[in-house]
Amino acid sequence: MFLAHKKNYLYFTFLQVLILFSPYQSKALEPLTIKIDEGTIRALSLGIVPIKETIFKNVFDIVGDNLKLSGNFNIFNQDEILSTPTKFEDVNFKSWRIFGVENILVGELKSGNNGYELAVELIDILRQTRIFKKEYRLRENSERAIAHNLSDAIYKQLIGKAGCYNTKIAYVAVSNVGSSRSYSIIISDYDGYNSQEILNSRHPILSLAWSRSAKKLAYVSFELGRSLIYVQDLRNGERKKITYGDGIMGAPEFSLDDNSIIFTASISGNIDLYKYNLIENRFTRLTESEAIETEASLSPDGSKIFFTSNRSGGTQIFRMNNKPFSAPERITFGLSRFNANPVYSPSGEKFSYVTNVNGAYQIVVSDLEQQYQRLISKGKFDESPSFSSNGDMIVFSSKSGIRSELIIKSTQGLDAETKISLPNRSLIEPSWGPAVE
Amino acid sequence: MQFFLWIIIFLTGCSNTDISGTGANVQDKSSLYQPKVSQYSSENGYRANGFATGNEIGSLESVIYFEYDSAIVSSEYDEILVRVSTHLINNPQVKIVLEGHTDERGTREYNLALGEERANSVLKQLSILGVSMQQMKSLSFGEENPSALGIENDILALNRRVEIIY
Repeated sequence: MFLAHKKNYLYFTFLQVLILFSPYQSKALEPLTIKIDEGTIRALSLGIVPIKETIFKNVFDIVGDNLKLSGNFNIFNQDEILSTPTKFEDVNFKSWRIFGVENILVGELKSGNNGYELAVELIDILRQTRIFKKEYRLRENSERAIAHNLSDAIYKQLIGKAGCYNTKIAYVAVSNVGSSRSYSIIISDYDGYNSQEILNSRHPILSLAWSRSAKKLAYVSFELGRSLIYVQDLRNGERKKITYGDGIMGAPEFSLDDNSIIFTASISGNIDLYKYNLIENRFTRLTESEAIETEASLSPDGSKIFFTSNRSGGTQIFRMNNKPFSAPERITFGLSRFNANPVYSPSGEKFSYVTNVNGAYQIVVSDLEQQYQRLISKGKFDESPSFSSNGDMIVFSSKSGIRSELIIKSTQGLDAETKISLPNRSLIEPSWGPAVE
Repeated sequence: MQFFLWIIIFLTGCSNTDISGTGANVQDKSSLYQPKVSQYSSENGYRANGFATGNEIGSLESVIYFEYDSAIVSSEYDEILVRVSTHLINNPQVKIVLEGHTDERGTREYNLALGEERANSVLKQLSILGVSMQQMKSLSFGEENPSALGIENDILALNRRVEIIY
């Protein structure tokens, strides 16, 4: 498959001026908070000294792009690098300190008994110490894997938490030629490379959900003429179909132990949340109302469920205990009458959702109590947010014209982003896979 | 109703990194911040899920349109619903499918539910008019089968519908 991969990095300081005007002042009932977000966070300055040998040149470029995308790193511009040490012993610490560089990555190619090896060192400029030294054996097409592995190691050392550069994303690629449509489920590296199709259908596919172990993928397919949930084993391709009631089936979400799926079904006209135990083949109803309840997201400790409902005040996000018929609490208020598709971050301290701001559908990252909300996308039709395994990045789909692409960026709302697009196809419904050993 | 106006001032330029993968593309800043919004007129809209229109009732008249994010059947469709219900009551062997659809705004799963809610609204109305539940079935395609493609308001309005299919 032909994959166009685009990377764009914009470096700028920006000033957001919020001008508030209110032509219908008398109708404005809700208090309005104005936040000026300078988009500035404490980012580490990392110098990456380009590897001289072309055979490995790309590895450090990929590492730089990976780290920059997280929003936690400023990569010291390579053009400004005066000295190009390849190992700890050659580093002139003073020349780096002048530029405020805190750490540097150096590397050199070595030929050993078993072919080529890349020796890399991460060096602390301020303390003048070596943080780590690693050697990677070069195999064919191992460049990206080495870069992602190295990126995770640097992230772990300097940020103090796991990276997410060795994870996968799943998404749906839609081609639309005349009246004939084709839907594919694609699984790829987090950055869009190494993609693999795992299902192709002429009928719509949506709502991809990874099992926590990353061994299965649940999704909604219309292949039998209506929306049903399927659970596909990613190792052998086996599929299990789940049907309940005679209406829609949708929005699958795995339980923590992967033995159950929370989903939406419509039975005798009521659209509610249910739980299905895959082992015991048993259905449990979770909500009961005349309104729509859908798009369930389970908290990482398994105790709460976020969902979308139109039971009051337009389409809003609610939260309930993960117990049948427990009373929901409304979470989103404010200006927008459309807030939907809540998703918990993997660490559970924040969530993301889609909001309608003056006609544009955009992605918000918020703390659980809606004290701090950050609009992190700028499109008109942005949807399907999904957190990376460490919660520092997010993927969503963004549509302009008739085509959608995927955007990956920091949850801190910075402007570095990776766009994944395919010619003549729309990429939708991205879902970021869990980190697995 | 209140509005935000965000003015973003770009102070410095940008730098691009070409990742030399197959078919790699590098966008410059200008294209990144000017989303291309193509115009689609109704002429190049198409029937995504054309169904037989041979039946005397299964034509344009048996499509019911809805307001944004609403499943309320407007009273302007009373006449059509009475006609459809009379036909069904007089012909108990005839069965219909009420196919609910939404426009593309909002999330896909919510729209799947909204399409179902719309189909069920029409189903309830017909049931009140005396149509047997055995003759009706609701089905939702959410935003997946638009009747016309485009993002103008008149195109979106065409997609917020329940089709009565015989």
